[in-house]
Amino acid sequence: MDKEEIREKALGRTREEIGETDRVQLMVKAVKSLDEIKSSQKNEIEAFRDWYSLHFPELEREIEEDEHLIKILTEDVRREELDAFEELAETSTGMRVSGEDAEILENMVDSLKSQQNMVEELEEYVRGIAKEEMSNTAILLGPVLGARIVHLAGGLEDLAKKPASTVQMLGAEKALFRHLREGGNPPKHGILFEHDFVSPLHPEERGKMARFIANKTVMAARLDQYGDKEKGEELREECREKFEELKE
Amino acid sequence: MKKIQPGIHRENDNLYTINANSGEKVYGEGLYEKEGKEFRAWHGNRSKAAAAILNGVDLGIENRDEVLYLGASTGTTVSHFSDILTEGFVYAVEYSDTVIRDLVELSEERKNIAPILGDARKPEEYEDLIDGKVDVVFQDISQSDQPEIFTKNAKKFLKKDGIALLAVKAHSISTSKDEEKVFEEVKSKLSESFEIIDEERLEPYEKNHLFLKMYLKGGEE
Repeated sequence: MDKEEIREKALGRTREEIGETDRVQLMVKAVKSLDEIKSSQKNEIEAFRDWYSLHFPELEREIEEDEHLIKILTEDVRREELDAFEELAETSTGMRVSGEDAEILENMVDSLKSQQNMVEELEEYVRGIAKEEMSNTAILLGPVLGARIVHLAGGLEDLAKKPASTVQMLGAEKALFRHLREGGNPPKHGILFEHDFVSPLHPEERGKMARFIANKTVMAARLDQYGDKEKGEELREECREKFEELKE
Repeated sequence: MKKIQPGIHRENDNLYTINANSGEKVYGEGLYEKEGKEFRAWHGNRSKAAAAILNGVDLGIENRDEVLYLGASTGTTVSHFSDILTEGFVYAVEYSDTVIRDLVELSEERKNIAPILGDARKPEEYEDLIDGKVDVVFQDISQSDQPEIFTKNAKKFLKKDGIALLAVKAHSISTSKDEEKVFEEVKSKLSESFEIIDEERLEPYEKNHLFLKMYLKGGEE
């Protein structure tokens, strides 16, 4: 065979394969973006609260939930225009703002709000793919946490090939290597801490639960990658039993 | 600038190959005009083949050779092989579909590279793309079964008198065992099928690496 012919054939075949849509890979990048946006959003909201409290500190203090605060300020940021908070506004100790100063605050609110929408959209997208492409893992861990674990593992197949002990430590690399280097207690859990069955437990029990879930997670991932897609509920149920047992 | 091996030039402690795609960089390496030719810098800490040459290994690759390269990654070393093989050809096998994208781009520009997405553990998956046997098998794969992968491919694709070049990373075989011991084990495993003719550690360019140059046993005579 002519070399040019071989090159064309190899190139064509490789291009064909890498061009194929891999939705898990898309999901992994989406969840990475989601976490980035969320963490920058947290900082931005904090800065905005600090800024806004110059004008209306009482409202900033009163409304603890960020989403709620943004919603209240969507129409207008000036305290005299906020219908539901007239009393609070009358006695406010904040400085007056108007014109340009109010406008930029309003633009900030818009920007925070659209960021919030993006977060929701991303979560919805990640959830959809996780349920479709890795149903067992998505049911066991919840779709977003499942996607995060897959992201940390490097892919669904990579997760399926990892030992459970590694999965238990995903997201706790810093603490794990500190333990290996300097001694001290090893970490009990990495990102699995976020699981509904881990965080509510007493710290003493969390390690046991995380280990249990890590075991089930690799089973779920292996099933998602290579086998039966209908085992998620069963695995979650086993985790729930363990959770109930440890809760007491 | 001194030619030390076919297509490979050296000046002080730096290696160069003559750019086959003039004016174009592949991975941000330096380009230098000299004696009317364009040279691409080939650094020992970017490429294990370069590290081996700097430490004294004669790769033995000729300009018209055909090379099977396992673990091509983004094509850093492959691009220099492409420079060297002015009349030859390189089959570049890579397992990761994300990493191979750069290699695909590279082989659009250079006519002597065939990018192959495949698992080197399963050579039968890409044997239809390889035209007869090759003069050189080169492997740089960080897997615990790298000696087995290498043997399998060399036996299948390497000419009887062909050259087998292998970079062994101790840490991908075992992180707990002493690296000397790991290297000894790898060498004894390989000597069932190969005759080792040169070996060199890759310090200071790469830590815990051994580079081996071998012939297939029962080939040379």
